[in-house]
Amino acid sequence: MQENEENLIRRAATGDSEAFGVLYDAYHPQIYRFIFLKVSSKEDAEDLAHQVFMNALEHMPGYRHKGFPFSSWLYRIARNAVIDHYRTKKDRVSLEDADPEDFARGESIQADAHRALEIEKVRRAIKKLSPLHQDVIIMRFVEELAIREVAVALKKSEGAIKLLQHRAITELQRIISENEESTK
Amino acid sequence: MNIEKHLRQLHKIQPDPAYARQLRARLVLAASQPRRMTFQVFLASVTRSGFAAAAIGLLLFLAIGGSIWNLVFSPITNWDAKTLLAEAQAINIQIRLADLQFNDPGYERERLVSPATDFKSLEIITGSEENILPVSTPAETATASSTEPSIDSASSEPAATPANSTSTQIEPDDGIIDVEEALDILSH
Repeated sequence: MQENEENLIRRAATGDSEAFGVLYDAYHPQIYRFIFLKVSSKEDAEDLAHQVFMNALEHMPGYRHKGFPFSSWLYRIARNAVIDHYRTKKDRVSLEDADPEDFARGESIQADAHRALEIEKVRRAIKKLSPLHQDVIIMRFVEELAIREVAVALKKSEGAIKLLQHRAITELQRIISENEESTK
Repeated sequence: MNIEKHLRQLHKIQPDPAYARQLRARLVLAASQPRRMTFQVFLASVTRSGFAAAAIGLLLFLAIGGSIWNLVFSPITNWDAKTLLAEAQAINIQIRLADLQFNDPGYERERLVSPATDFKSLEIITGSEENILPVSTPAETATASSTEPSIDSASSEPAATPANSTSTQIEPDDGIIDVEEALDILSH
């Protein structure tokens, strides 16, 4: 994919719409997931994902391939889009008010109720993390990206990412156990 | 609760297929349209590279600009030894010896009248006030008396007795004169 990706990026940068379509197919699900886990609703996630790919299309001619995965660049655009979203739409839906039904539809998981509940707990706990810890948790444990790729996307060193992921997981466990104790 | 396992479960979240198809169609359509941003992108790249070139040029100028400036524009570079020599020779240097001022002629007058003076070798130069010189040789006197000699000719001309000055050889009777007599001589 890496060699093909470079070629696709070059073609897309010169205005090849089909090449950009292939890149979209490859990266849209993970960018959508990244956004969906950070915002409160499916609609917001769809709008922001749309915005991310439109921005990417607009800036494709200026994109320089430096050996890093294309996804790192897309994640950066997505992060900025989410930050702008929370900056400008604070008064919209709060994280706590999000409808759990949205998550079920978004996940498209028709699993048993218990598992869905567990996943929902984790998702809610992720939203209580700091944005940086959210990013690390989603990229490393949901998308299973390599540390180097996460480091490039977040503009941090690999050592910093290792430290961040450790702290984020610890924090996530603390939040989940606190939530469980409060519901008992 | 196994957190990592549940986190991996979140990977199953997928966008709505209808929405994904619609967005793809829109993006492909937008990508296939002629780019309106081409000129702006070109302008941005030109500006970016222009700034980089300007910064490099400024650094180079700061580093070696002073030396080049001195080499290229310094007036010293337009000079050569022959020109300088010709210019130096063309300068008309004339020393008007008649205008020379001596600081303390009274000192010499006092020395002349002292009892220890050897009057056999004493020459009193008479003439204009400017030509009164302290103890001087005939050659120096000749040089001093000539009017407006050039430096070049001064060294080559032989020492001659000046035409406008006269020397008086004093022959004391017994080798000793008194002060009044000496002053009388000087007044002449």
